[in-house]
Amino acid sequence: MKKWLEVALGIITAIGGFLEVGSIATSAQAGSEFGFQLVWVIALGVLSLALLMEMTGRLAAVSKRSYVDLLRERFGIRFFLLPLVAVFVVSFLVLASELGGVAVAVQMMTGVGLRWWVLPVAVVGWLLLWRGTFGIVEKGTAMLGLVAVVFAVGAAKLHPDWSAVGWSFVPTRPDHDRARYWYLAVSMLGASISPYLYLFYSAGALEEGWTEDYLNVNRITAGLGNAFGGVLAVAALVVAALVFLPREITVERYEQIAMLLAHPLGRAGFALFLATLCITCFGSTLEVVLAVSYLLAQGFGWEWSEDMKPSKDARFTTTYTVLLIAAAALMIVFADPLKLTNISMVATAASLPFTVVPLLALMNDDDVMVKFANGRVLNGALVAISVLSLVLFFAAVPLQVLGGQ
Amino acid sequence: MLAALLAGACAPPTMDQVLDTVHSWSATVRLAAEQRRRGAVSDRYAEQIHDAAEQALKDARASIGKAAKSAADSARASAAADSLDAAVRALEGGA
Repeated sequence: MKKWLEVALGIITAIGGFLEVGSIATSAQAGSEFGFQLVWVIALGVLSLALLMEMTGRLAAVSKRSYVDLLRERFGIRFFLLPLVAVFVVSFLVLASELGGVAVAVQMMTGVGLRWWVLPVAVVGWLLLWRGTFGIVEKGTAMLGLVAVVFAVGAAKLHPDWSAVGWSFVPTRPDHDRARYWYLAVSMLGASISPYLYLFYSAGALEEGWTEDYLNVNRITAGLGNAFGGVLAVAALVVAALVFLPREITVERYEQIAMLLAHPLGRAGFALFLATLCITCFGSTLEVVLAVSYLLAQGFGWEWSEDMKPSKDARFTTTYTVLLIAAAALMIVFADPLKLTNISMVATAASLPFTVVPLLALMNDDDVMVKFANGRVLNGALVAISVLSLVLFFAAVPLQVLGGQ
Repeated sequence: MLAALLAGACAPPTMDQVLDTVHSWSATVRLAAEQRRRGAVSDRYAEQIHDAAEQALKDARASIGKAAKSAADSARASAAADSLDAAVRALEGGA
């Protein structure tokens, strides 16, 4: 019974983790500019993320060590600095974007400029991390994040051509603005396959004391949670395709996205969109800042646990404190959350090889995985994700120049 | 790489991009006005769309001079900007 409860909570958490500032923004942009055409990218992102989460979760459950910890030990500190710096930088940008997402939602509710809200949001997040436990941080915000189901309700109310949506799971070439199409595809993949998601997941498996008994929980959580999250991202894209595309509205600011759900659901849709943006971005703020703190603590061998008293893991606590302040400062100075979100999603996509490719070695290391190493199918999938990550690495900058606006 | 991404994001817009932006904001303002009439969005929110559209109009007018390659380009963009201006004023009037 307890395990099924954990499965249910895990799925809810994964849904909440999947849908955040990046996936909402990029899905809305994709739908408004290319209709249903980019749905296949969400499917590819969901599949890749689910596989990476399953593998890093299995790695943690079997070895009782985090992916980061094993990465440093297996490849040495000099190599480890590459993924450390890459993930740190892109996650920091994502963190600032998530803070911006919450702040812009509160701005739309109150009319007071987002710059005024960034620091208070960071302080509330910090208080929750300081006083709360891992369970509260992870599952509490994810439960509230279920409000994002409103995207599915909005999509259903607009009566889309479901067969056209279904066919859009098959990749097609764009009939206009190719560079923009591929730029959005890269952004969407960056929003879906964020390293912080699987690093947080791997650390979370340790926080919750997973063992080999949890491998089925891990499989179901990673698979179903991300699939449901993906369904909501597709719903956001569908709503944007039906509301914005016919009117030739392209998304340049978060303020525009708020009209998406007001169209099919009226005032309730408008209010629920603001709640969704606020809650999912706040939940992701906590996940990103913890993921980066885990990264540094596990990488340098510090004490770490969200369940410990702050005085017991002072360096870990100091890390998330400083990160929140610095990310809030970046958002206040930059003050364009959507542009920062787009840049951070493309940068995230470009950073993927540093954490994806080394996973191949670890998932096939019998000393670490004992009898739970990857089989042929999973290795094939991981090779394919590694190739995809390398393509994203080389394509990111040219596409930002040619297709970023 | 990050610097290249930032530079790419901050590149000046082409004339087509300026026109797309202006058309998009005109449509945004019209949709916001329609939704406000239906009571689907708050007045406070409509004001924010108004301000954002005004800013977009200002940016577009500043970009037209740099992006225009001919007098025809410039006239086309100015007409689009005037249309956005009218939509913004209409939203203001309904406030």
